[in-house]
Amino acid sequence: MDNGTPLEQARCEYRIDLNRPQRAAEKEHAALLQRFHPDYASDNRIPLTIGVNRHDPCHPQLAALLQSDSQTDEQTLAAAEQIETEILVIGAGGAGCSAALVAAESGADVLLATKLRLGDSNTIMAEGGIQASIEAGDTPQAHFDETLRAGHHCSNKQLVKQMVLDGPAVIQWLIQQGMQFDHDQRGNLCTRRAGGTSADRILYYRDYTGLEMMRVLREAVRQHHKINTADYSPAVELLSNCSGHCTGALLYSIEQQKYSVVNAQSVILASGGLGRMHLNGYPTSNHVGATGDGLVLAYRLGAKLQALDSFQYHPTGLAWPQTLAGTLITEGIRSAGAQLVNSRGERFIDELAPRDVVCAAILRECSEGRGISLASGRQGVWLDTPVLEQQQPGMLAKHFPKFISLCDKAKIDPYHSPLLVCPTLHYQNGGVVINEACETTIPGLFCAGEVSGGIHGKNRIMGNALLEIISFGRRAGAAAAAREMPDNTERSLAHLERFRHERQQHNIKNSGQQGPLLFPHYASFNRESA
Amino acid sequence: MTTAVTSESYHEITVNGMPLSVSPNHSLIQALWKSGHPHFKRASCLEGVCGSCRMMVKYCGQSEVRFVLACQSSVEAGMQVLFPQHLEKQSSALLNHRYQLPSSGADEQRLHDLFPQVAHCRHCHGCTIACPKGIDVEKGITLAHEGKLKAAGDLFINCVMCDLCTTSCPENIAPNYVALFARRTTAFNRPLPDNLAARLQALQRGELTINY
Repeated sequence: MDNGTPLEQARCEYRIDLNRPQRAAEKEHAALLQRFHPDYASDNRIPLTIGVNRHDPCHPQLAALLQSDSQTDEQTLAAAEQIETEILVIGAGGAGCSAALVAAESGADVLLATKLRLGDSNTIMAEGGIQASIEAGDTPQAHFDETLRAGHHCSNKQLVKQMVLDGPAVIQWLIQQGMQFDHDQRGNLCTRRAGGTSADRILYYRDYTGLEMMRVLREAVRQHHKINTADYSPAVELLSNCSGHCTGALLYSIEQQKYSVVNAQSVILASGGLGRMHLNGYPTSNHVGATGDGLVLAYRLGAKLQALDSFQYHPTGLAWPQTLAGTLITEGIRSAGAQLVNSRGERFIDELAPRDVVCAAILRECSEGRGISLASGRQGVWLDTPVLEQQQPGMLAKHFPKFISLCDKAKIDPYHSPLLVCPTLHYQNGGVVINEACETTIPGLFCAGEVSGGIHGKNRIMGNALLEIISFGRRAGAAAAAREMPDNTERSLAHLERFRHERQQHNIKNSGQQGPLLFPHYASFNRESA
Repeated sequence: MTTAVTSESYHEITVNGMPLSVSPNHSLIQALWKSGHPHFKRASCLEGVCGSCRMMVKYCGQSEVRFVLACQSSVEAGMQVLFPQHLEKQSSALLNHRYQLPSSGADEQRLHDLFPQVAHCRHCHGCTIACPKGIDVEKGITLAHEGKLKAAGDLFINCVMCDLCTTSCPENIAPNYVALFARRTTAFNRPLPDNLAARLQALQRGELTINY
């Protein structure tokens, strides 16, 4: 990698320029991705050796985790307290909460279990907004086409169609839960454009869309008499009957330091993504608990996964100061008019190209000597916010309060100085295979949200994550509640026995790592923590 | 990972009364992690929006104790840090309100029924001082009491539901939940936006389909 311009020098050389030329549009996105996007590097993909996805490509760090041993055995199960519920929801972000609410509305008793607290999730950090085609000049067909195109045509079309058509009803449901959106003077919902799309389709509330959503859903869950919640209670194993159907889960209460067996007619896994695995050493925009637990649990039970080698590196994570590295700067700021600029003062990419393309373009600038380098060796490019402030005075302060508070903390003046940014691990594009009713390949196990796969193909566009979690969360809740109680409600770890046998057969070595991870290694929040 | 240090120097701080050497240039949470502090579970988003990592802090040379979000606070030499674990039970015990949207009857009256303590505000500023997001909490309660629900709710745009205002109120008002009620009813009562309503009707009529 070429060295680039040192930060201090680049800062001196920076000038506000409203007429910066933009380099000619990329003809060949494919070649750019191939050369510079982390997903496309050959050493970021190995075949899985055990499980239903045997021989499928998977990121090596994720493969090690998926094939790792469990911390659980039959003895733990036998000694654990038994809890009965109709629906068990694992994960209390947007998908888990909306699933719980809909299941409870249809009369089911719900237990909502979460590793941290109700609402602690990636949802609450979502800044940009939620997609729904509502403007007169826009159509669901365009939303559908653009989701597919940005995902390189690897999505499950039926799932995307359903999600896109759900969009407006999702917004209406959120408003009925008491969520606010930004309105224009005529009372219409404000919209803005996402990268890789042709129409204004992002609805938002400041840059607090996720916070506003989560405040409201958390309160709605708390107020619902059919929902019980269990904080600090991560699932450490799913349970199965002799037919291999999912019949519940083993939870571990961090506060009480004990296990409990939850018997459920349906289990909804809504446990989110894996940014805190720091794939390829990348910083992440994810919350502390995003350690890919759901994938591990589902895989051991025998659920089919997909696209385990596809991740989103959000183009604009803060690169400096180092203590805040990885913190997300919303695409909304680029949508509003902030520019990406290299050390020579050039705009090198359409700022609203799809995220994977923008990410690859930033990595190209850095690797070809046009980046801005830190003492640590890491590089980034400028996110030019002063240009935005000049063109639309007041825009930053009015629409991006979360961003402004980040700048305060970073001691950066975004009105006059650009911010150093580089890609940050943001989202897991693949996940557990689901159908339109959020059923996995294992009867009794449903999935919704980031843990599931098939919707975003190989690259997600802004605003589709928040739409997905509510669209599929609600469907998972309804489908799980409608499922009839299976005849055989036995709860065993038979699947784990099979899994361990397979590990032995294929000579998988114990690396000392056990799954699920629950917490990143540096967060010394272990089982003994109080 | 986000905790590379270039400096070899350390700051001496105390955490729950125990002395600890921590790396400077770090947020409080990063410093606690880095020092191997094992008893800290209240961390989630690290971006100051989840409200989990609230702590009590007394800075060197200052007399008053402040509430901060640990992910948003830098380590300073000589600071004293206390995990306010006692507040966790306290805040859940204070939350007795139960309601569904749409709330029956006038929302202004409903607010008083749900949160009768609002009328007892002593204007002691305790809630406003406790707020780590700089919200004028007390003013919000005054506005709510006067039935100005939208104005009250609008003050709480930055609220992260850390419950510090709730635990600091001598009259057991739960200001952040009062404001959330005000915000939710405001959103619920707003006429359905035209652009959304038009699209919902078009979808219902089957005018918009997806072909592939």
